[in-house]
Amino acid sequence: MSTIFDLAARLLAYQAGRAIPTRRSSALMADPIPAFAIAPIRMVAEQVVYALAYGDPDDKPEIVLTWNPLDRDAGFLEPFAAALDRYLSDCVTAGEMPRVWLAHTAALEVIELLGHRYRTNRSVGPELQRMGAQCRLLAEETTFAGQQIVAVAGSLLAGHVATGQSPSEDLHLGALLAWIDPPAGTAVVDAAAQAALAPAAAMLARAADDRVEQLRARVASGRLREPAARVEAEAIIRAELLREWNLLVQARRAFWTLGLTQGPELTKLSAESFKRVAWQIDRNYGSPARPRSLAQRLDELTYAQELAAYADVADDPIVRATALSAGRVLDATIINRDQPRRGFQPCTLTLETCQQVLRVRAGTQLQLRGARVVGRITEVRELNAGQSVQLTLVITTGVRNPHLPAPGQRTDWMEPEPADLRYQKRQVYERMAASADTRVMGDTLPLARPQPADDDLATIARRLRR
Amino acid sequence: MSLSGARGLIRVAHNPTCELQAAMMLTRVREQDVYLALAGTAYPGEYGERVSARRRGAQFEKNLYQDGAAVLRGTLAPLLGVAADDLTVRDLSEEVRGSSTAAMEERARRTDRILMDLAADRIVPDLLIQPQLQLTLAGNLASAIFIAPDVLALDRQRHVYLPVEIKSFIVRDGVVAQGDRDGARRQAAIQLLALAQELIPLGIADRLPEAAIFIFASPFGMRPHPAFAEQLSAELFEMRRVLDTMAQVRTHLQALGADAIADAEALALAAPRLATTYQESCVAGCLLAQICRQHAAAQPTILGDRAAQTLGETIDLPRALALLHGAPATDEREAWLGPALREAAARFDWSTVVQGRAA
Ligand code: SF4
Repeated sequence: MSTIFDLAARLLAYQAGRAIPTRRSSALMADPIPAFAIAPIRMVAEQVVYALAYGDPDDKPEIVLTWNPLDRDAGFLEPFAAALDRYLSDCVTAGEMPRVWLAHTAALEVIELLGHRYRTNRSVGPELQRMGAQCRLLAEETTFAGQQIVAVAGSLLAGHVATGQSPSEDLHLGALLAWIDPPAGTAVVDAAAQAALAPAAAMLARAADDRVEQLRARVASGRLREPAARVEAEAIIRAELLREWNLLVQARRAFWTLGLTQGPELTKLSAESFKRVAWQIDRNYGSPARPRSLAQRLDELTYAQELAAYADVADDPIVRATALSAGRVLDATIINRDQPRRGFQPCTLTLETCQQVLRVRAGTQLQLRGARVVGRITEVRELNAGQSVQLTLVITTGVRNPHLPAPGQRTDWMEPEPADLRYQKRQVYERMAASADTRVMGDTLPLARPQPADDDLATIARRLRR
Repeated sequence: MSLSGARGLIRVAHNPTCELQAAMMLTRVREQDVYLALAGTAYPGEYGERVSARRRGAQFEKNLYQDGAAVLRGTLAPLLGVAADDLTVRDLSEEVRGSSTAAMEERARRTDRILMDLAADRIVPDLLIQPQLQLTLAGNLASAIFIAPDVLALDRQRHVYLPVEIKSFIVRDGVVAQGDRDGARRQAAIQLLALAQELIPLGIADRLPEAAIFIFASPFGMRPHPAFAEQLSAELFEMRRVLDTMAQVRTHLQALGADAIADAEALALAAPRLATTYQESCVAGCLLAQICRQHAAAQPTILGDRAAQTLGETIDLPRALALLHGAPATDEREAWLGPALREAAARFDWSTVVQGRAA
């Protein structure tokens, strides 16, 4: 979001005393039925899991917990491992996109750590190793722009509304929700400040944490019997866990009641997300570390980024308006259509725009929004002393398309859907790996050939040109 | 929770223009007491380090220091280029136990003697656990604060000690969370400044590089991640600026006749004459954030640092809203801002606000 757009939105929210939407379309496809939600509670600093509430967010959660995660017995996680595996595997087998809801990035961090700890941990059984692999997979999925599998409620809400507080304050999910749905009878600023007093970071509240610590210490020093301490500690942890679960459920509901539309491009994003997860669900991959796998990962990330940016502009009128004011979308009227044979090449359009910022030049490719009509600019001419611009666009794809615009029609043109060259690039990497070129695959660079010391720059340039 | 020590200096680094915070640091008045004095009620949220976090930190360090600091030696050996068994250790926390001022002073005396030995080319231990340094604030000897690096490690080639900062934060895929790393780097920078202050009179401060060593935890229990050294030039610059701020605030306090303040009520009385510069970092960092936020009610800073930078010091929120709704501009900045805000606001139909009520 641009600085001015963000400022304008926050000013209006500040004036209204409630959050305002900054998008009209959702960046997230509708939930499948059922979705799966996970609310973890971790031990501060140790980052080990005390408890997990999980299951269908429209239902009561299942709960696993331990009052002493420091004893390193991870057996209590097994029911969760089984439920997560069942959910993901069933979805993948049925060809349906899974959806895992988390409340905030702190919860995501816990899931990521479960992946780190158990994926290859030989001291646990295959069920927990599989859980580790699936947690890593979910955490990794969140690094892809536009991904549709993991919904982090806090980040999603912050990406769809603006509040009248600062971005740092928005990071607290409770405070953010107070702006989205202000409670009656309280000023929204006070409600947000009040909400921010309780942690929303997958951790026990301070008093609960101190009490559980104290109970453990008293058992360790023999001043308290374990069963009594355990009962009290587990009740505290359970109550705190349900607080986190309720926050997640409330945030999910808040997101879906924003009433945003579902753009058609979400389907492509979902398909990409599904492919990634379906491919890895039964594979326990680590993070890429070799040149070839790193290059492939970079391509995946880049493609996801480009596709998500394309989908945002195509689906959301507010994002599109922002792109338009930055000159990345062209709003133009068709002045002329030169197509000697209807439905055949050549087809040349003349467009005119009064848009102030324009980032097109001869050679720029543009796609008609909402249709597979793509063309290339061949000429840009200023008219009326720079008051308007006329462009010549040669249609390269879509000459038969019924949406091919006619003279007088007002049209939106944007960057075309990104080309998916991942397969071709993979082939290139395979060749490079096979040739074992040290410049790509080696750890050290080959020695540079020494240059004759008396060469001047002109001589070097001449030699390079040969 | 007193703001003295390295923690307080780091806080000042986050908001170096806030005189009230610097005054809390200089006067060593507890933050929650100042809150009580200003708000009339106790601070309702949590503050201070949690018992669980303290326990983990203490256990992680204990694990490194036990058995003749075997784990610590093993972790630092590759970095120091000396075999773990050849590293000699003195543990001042074992020699002088406790956290009383007297204990800290004694550890400081012993640290001084070791540094003098270093300057005189006498044999010194490779690893000095829990040394005690002193850092003079605002050029005033009476204001000196104790700075306790976890460890000082001898760089045998340079013949100087480097601070070792030990944190039980977890490293994942070789990456430390940004916030954890930044805090540790700032803390190490303060230790470097304190060490430099001690080495200057000994004539060997020039041996000190602008670097420190870090030991973080692996995701697996108490096992440390491999130690690494980092350059801290930026943090040193920042911390030197903090020391300058402290000197300025001391001068200001003296001018106000408030330099002898020793309790929260007196500081609260002086507060209206001390500058506060509420900003985003206050939200997560300072107990007084809500109080200062209320005082900044119509200032752009409550919408965040970016908003504050865009609106500048002359345009408050009502004025920005007026410009957004079409008020005529009175200067060049407003002439640019008004149309930009109007154009941005026109992009979304803000009348379709999220369900809820105006406050
Ligand atoms: S909250 Fe207030 S006192 Fe604290 S640092 Fe910010 S401006 Fe200074």
